[in-house]
Amino acid sequence: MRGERGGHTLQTTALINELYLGLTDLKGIDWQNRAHFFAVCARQMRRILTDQARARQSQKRGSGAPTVSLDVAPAVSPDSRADLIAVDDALNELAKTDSRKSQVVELKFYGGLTVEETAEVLKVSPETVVRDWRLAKAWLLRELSQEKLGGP
Amino acid sequence: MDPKRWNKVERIFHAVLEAGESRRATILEDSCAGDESLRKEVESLLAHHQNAGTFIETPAFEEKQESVSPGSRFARAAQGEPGLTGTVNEQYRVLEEIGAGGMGVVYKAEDTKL
Repeated sequence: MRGERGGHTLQTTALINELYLGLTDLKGIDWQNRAHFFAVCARQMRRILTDQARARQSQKRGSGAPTVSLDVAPAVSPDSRADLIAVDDALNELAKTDSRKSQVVELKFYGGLTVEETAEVLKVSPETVVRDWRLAKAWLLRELSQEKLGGP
Repeated sequence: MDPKRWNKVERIFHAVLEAGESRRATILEDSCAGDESLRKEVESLLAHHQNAGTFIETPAFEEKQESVSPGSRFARAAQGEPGLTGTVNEQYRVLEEIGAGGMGVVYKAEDTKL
């Protein structure tokens, strides 16, 4: 834990650089307000992190070469880090039925926004965000645990 | 799932959670009104809610740093940071670092129970 800080800062800086580069690439975007800015940042962060996770996965898997995995641990456990690729896929699925919940997750989980900030971006009450978050979390966890009975 | 049904699921999910412990079963039963698959769906979501813990509570960019292990300990060791050297747990006193790679660090330790 002691050494955590150094690496942390470095990676955060790299991420912010990438986020910034991505944002400056989005020419012609019409920044309506602060809330819109947060929403775009969260979306961008989601893309960067998912791309990175995909790149890592393809490296690990030897870019398509057949491998035998020794990793038998399930992808998800409640307190562990989520599989970002699976979360991204599941969120796309959720967005089809309930786009606001998918946005709540995007803003909170990828954008790092608080409940209040998320509420401001989505123009709903904080209570609504809390409820959306609660259900979206349960749904996502189930989706990632592959115990689906039939999602949205 | 069609949006209407999803709305139903959502309403019941919250109603059950927001009710007192003792009334939950009744509310679930009454709200589903004999619709078995609806009850199963809500129950399954409630169960996952119970187990959700800290799932996705830490923002993804912070989680990522925890999960990106390649080189992190190695980098720490290379920077001359102490790592576990000098620490003690129930059984071992860590004496020195022997080596480090992308996956971890090897330490020389003394078994204090021997």
